[in-house]
Amino acid sequence: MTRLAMQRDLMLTSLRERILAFATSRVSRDLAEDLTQEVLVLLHEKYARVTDLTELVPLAFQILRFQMLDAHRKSLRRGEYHQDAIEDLPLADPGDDPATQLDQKQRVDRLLAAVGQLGGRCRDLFRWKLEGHSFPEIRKIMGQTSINTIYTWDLRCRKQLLSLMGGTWE
Amino acid sequence: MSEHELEHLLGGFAADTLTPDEQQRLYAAALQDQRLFDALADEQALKELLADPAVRRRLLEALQQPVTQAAEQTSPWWAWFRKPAGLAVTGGLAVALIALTFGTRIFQEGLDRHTRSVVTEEPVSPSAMSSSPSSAPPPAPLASEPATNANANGTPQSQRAKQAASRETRAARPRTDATDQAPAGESSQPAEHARVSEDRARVTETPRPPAPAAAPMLKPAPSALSGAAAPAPVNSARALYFGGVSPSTGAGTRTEGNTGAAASVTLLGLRYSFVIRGSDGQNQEVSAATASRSTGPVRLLVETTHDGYLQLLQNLGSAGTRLWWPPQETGKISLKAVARTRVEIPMPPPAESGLLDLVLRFSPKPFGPLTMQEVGMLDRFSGNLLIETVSPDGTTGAREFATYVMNSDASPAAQIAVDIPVSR
Repeated sequence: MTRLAMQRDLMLTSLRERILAFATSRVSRDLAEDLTQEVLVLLHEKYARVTDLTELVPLAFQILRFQMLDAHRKSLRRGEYHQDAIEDLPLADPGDDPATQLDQKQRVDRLLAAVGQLGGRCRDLFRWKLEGHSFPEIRKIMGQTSINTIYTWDLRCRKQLLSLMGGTWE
Repeated sequence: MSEHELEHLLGGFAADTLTPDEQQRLYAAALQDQRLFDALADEQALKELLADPAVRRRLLEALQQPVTQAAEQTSPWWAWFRKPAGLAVTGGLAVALIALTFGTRIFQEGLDRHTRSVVTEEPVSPSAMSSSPSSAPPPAPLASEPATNANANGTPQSQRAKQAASRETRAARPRTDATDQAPAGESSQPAEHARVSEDRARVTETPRPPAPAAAPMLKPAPSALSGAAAPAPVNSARALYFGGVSPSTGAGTRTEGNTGAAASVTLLGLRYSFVIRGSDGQNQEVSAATASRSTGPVRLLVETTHDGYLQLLQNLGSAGTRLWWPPQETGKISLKAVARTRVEIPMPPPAESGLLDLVLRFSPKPFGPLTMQEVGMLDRFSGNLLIETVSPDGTTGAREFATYVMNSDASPAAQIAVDIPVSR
């Protein structure tokens, strides 16, 4: 086993532990274990070439989110939340269903409204980030000597935006 | 950067603007820190939103708008009060409004208090007196008389002091009225008398012209004029009672013939004193304090300037006020008194509280039935009173324990109601 493979196995082990803990806090234990297993299978089989930490971790987050949303949709279809007759439920659509699209649109609208209520500094910070500027670049733009100042301002702005969104990005 | 500080990078994770170094540290820490991992997992939802080019473009367009415009579109008008600046301005305005309201009231009260204190000051200054010697009033009679206690009533009771204060504020009118009646020899007065008249006229809001006050001056300072060394008052209730000329006969002397000053004849006045029977069987005038301590019978000796009617009321405190004299068996409310003739009135026993508080009333006309309402309004008859208590002076040998009460209101409806507190 090569050194990169060993490092990847160590990262996957840590990821499994973190993913299982996170999923358990959101869904049932059994479902959390299933979700974790499915994420790791995908990472192992479909993304076996991804070995770098900075790629593997965000990829794991992305897969985890997809899996959780998919599990949520399956639960809805199976009537686990609402005991409806299976005949009354529509057939599964591999693409985004209208409900998901509506949810996406509402989240965007809420985000736009929340951004509009931010103060001048937060708006500038958010705008520069959307334009692709990194924190060191933003520090230069804002004329600050310490990068920690930018980190602190951004953290406060993020919390304010999250509060304006109702406490969740969903 | 500690793990806690790595949370600062969450914003960069969602916007995908972290530098490779920041990403390395953040993800490595997330694998070891469950809390940071959970935060990143939650942030994934926002990251997905921002990863959409359409959403990112719309956000950038929204952020391009000016802050004020965006705030106006999203915030209701009352949201201004929720901002710190709005709260500060609103609070400041509220405090200013409250301060203005109460400050104005306090200032007005302070102004009134100051005005009252100005009025009660002794207006006669020695320099002013010496600057106009030719117009000095005749002080000689009183200078050789027994020392006068210039207290408003000669008694220390707070109630009397209250009366004196109210009397002072209304002193302009009596003095002016008396000036009209004053003899020519007393008509010219020092300049500051006119100034004091102006001050008092201002207080009473009576637009009377400043007059050279020949009328008696109120002497509220108790110790200012007591004793032989103190300058004798130019005018006093006693001087007015005797028509401006002091009797040389001392206490117990009739004064019918002493009408040297016609001016005071028109003013209503009386003299009262406490008398007890001495060891020699003779009546002897004593002070109120002595009378209150006396175990023997004490009588009130009253003499008036005019023919009129007298009555003596006793304040029984919470039990109300009763008519003590004339006695009930007479069937009369008041008895006629002849001018310059003394009337002896027996003193009533003290009330249950131990205090003996009397009200002596004198009027040229007979009194009507006394109602409770009238009892409460007796103070209105004491507003224009000039009261002077005289005690013996060892330097002159004169012996007189008496109180002179003059009503400077020369109107026909004038009457006197003087409070005589006698503590037992």
